[in-house]
Amino acid sequence: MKYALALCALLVACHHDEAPKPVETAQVAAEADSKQMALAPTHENAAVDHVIAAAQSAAKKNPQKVDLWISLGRAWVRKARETEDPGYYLHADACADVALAIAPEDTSALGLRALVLLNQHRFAEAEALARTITTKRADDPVAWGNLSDALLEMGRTEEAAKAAQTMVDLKPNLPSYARAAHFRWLAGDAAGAKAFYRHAIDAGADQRDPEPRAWVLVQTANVFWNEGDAEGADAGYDMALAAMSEYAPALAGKARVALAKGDASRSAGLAKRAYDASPRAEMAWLLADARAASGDSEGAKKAVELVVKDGKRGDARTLSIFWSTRNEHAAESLALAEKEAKTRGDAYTQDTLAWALYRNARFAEARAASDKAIASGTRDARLLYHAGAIRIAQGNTSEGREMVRKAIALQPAFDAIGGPEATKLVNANATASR
Amino acid sequence: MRRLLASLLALAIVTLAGVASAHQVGLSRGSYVREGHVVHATVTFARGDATTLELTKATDPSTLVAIASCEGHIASLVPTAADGLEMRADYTCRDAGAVTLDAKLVDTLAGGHRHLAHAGADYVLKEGDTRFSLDAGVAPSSPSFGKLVALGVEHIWTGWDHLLFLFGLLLLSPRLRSLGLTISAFTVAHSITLGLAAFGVWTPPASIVEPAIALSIAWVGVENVRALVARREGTVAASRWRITFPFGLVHGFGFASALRELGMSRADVPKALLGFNLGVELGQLAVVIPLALALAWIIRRGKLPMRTISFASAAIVAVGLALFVVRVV
Repeated sequence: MKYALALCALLVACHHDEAPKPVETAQVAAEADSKQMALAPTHENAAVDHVIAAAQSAAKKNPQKVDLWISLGRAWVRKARETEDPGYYLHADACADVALAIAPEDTSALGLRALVLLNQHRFAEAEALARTITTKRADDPVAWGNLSDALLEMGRTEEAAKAAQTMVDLKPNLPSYARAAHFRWLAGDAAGAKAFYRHAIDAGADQRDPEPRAWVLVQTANVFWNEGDAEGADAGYDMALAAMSEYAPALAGKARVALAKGDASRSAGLAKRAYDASPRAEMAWLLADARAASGDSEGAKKAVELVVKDGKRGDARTLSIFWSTRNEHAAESLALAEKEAKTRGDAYTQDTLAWALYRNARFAEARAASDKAIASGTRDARLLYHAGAIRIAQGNTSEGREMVRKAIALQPAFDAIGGPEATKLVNANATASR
Repeated sequence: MRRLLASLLALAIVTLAGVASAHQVGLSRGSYVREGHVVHATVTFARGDATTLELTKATDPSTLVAIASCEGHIASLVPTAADGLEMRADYTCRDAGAVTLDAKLVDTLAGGHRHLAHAGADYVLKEGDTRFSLDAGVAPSSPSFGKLVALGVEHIWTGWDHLLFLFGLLLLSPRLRSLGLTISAFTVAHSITLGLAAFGVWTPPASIVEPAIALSIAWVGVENVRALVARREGTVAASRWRITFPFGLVHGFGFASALRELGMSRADVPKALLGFNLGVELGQLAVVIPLALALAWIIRRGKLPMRTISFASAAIVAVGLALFVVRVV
């Protein structure tokens, strides 16, 4: 019995600072809710679900270990990325809650929270948290990556690029090279973007987690697509699908290529698979275009309903640019774009706002937003077409026409409605100028 | 090292720039209590979700949470401290049996919305998975006796800390009588604390139990070394049950964590205790018997020098202490 007493004495000595503290009932309930979310079963059988189950089991066995909750949170992030269901970030956030309740200053837990904030579009909070972490640990590449992402979403491109550069310097690997590539792309340097994506692919990834590699392959293929190289893009999407079957962004890319090549029914099939894998407004839009091109007007109508439903439920930017592209619901589209622009300032949000303003005939404001969208020199056909059309509407015909021509030269099939509209606009202006 | 590198890579990968396709999603919480024919619901929404649902205009709670064969009305809508809105609703049901609820609000709100429902049992509901039950449905899966036995076996076989403790005991207790006493003391002790925890009488926190288990491993190693130094193997082996009994009490609380994960009703506890404990014993014997026979055979042939036992015991001490530090820090 003396052993038991000695053991008790030692444990009490070790845990003198962990005596129960009086806490509010609400706080206790919130902690219980966080654990419930973190430990919720997935009821699915993918590889990531086994990773989650194993991490949950470890965390349950040793609930005071912060690292175990962080690992579980990262598994939930992986689930969110693979399924494109943003709800899984709530489970990751719950893991951050539990970890931070144990160790409020833990930088890994704070990093997990920052990542969740980013994915919830709470960019200012994500930036503040990422800065806190970089102050504590200036050699944390993940924190610099989070900071870069937050700044980029808020339109602070130069600061974002600097943060990304720090990340690359600290740890040249797939995530940091992928960021570098994206900045090259935004700056209009497609060749540089491709080179960095090559580095990212060569840097390798965890074989047990194929999504990051598939994601980089799709981004690379998108550069080829935006340069008008449909064959190159298609090959890239195939590689992504080889890395991860039924990967929605890759299926969507292939659907776009098929549509551009005139194979509308194949495009509709691919777009349907993409939507099934990731039921989002963006996928529904592609499905609507493909079905309309294949003559399935009833199917296209249903897909349009999905765009509106999914857009209203959480993707205001896509719904706004969808309506503006189709020149429908102009006032509503503008309201959505303006609301989005309050929290996001990146090139694509500025372009969405510009096009919504254009459809509302507010050309001066549209020009200001469009100038911001193309300020860094991004060679994206849609951005260039919108910039050109706005200039033409303002009476700056020659510059505008030149920009629209550039857009068509880059990728005439940048979207099913915008592409033909751009060609028509150039031709109409050419006729008028003669 | 390879695993460490893989972990570091995974850590970096999860933070890849991929935010453009994600959207703001919300979490709502619901508490559902049954009183005879009436179900009381308290549901808390974030402000944004309450606006999307046009909650201030709602009159029928069934558009948010429907209960089959029950009619509901909203009793109150109150702002919460955290800038949310709390809806209280009462549903009057035709009978007092089990009811199925459908959290329709999940399908209405942004993709990815989650609803945390406390209805006796706890549920995390998402799009396409919005139904849950109250009362009779709260404990739908009472595990079978066989499953409980299997769980006990699995727990001991995958709990390498328990196995290491047993191995430490066996190193100096290969004789049948002393082995029987030692294992019996361990079994009786862990059954006592497992029972205490399972019936909810007392459960010390894992932050105490887990380091204590680690210390018990180290202590067994220390005892082995002490016995070897004193060269009193016979007397030590006979009295080892005195060490294993208190440590068995500690290990019992460790076993209880696995049982708690099942979330059983109180009525199921005796069956679970019996089945799980039986599984633990079977799993233990499946390890102990072949190991003890092998050790006895080796010792009989003089192939287990004292130096080897000393080294193994020292290693057990080191592992136990390392585990203690890991579990405390």
